[in-house]
Amino acid sequence: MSPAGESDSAANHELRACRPASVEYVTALRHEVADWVRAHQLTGDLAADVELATYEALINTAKHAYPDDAGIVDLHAHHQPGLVRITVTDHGRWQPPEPDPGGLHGRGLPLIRALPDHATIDATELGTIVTMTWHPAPSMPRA
Amino acid sequence: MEEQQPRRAHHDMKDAAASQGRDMARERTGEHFIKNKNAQVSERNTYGHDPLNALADQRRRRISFVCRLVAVRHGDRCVKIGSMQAFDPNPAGDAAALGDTTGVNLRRDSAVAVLTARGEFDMVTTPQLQVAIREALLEAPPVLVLDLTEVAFFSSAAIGALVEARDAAGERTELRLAVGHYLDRTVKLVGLRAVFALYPSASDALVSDGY
Repeated sequence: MSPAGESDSAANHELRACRPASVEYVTALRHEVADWVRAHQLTGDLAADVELATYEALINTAKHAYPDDAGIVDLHAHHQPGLVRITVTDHGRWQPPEPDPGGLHGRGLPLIRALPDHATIDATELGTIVTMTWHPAPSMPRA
Repeated sequence: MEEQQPRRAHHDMKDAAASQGRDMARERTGEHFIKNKNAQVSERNTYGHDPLNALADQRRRRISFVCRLVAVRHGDRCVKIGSMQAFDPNPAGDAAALGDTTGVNLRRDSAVAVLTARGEFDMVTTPQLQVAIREALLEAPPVLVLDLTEVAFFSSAAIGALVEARDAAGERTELRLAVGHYLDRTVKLVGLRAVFALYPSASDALVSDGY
């Protein structure tokens, strides 16, 4: 059975996962996303960008959404010809980034904005939704 | 009698979930908790290995407890989370697997130190890189080459470690980065390309002035 459970439904276009927002779980989830990306024949820069951007969104949740306790993060990955969409949802509140964080912090959000073709971050009272989309050229039909 | 109904439903669900959880834990040589309605651990089964320490143990309990709270809040989604089907019961195993492919190696002579990093550097593994860089800088070599050409994943935390390295190197040590296409792109995206001396390989970084 796939670790993602029901994610094999819908002709495998989707990956859905709900995990504790901790550093270790996020690493495990990153590997699942990388497997999903490979299974969809997404390669090269696109594959690397999806994995990195997704990881940054997940790790932001682990670091900032639940400062006092572990919470839950939802991941939804969708692929169809010409579109890859990753949605990362938490149910906490992101802390505003520090003005001059330095060191290990502060480069996650710029990557979330720079890696996808389009990125939105919706912060609400109930949580934060990061939606990232890529528009790869559809692969050539077989001869 | 009316009060009994939901309680029985809870127990049926718990039994089914407990059995699934046990199977998953066996498959993954992990650990499996069964909890009462009040989220206290009523049964604990360990398969394959014992928990590394009490802290990890406590952490698992806390994670499970949080899941139950979320379950209450999200109505029917609780079934998926509460059954422990939704996530890997042993993520530390997955994170530890990084140790097989990820590592750092330092070699040095009087004039130059070369630190080679291979594999995936995220929040779990970046501390390895930080420690190795600090160690490499301790003896203030004139040149420190960071060979990152065989890096397969490099998160913002690892980029932060490079910035930290540059700051720590200061005037005493000249920091040179050997990066492949993957990392060259990331460094450019975060606007740090001009900050580092970038080379396509460690040997290029070494021969550039005769080392």
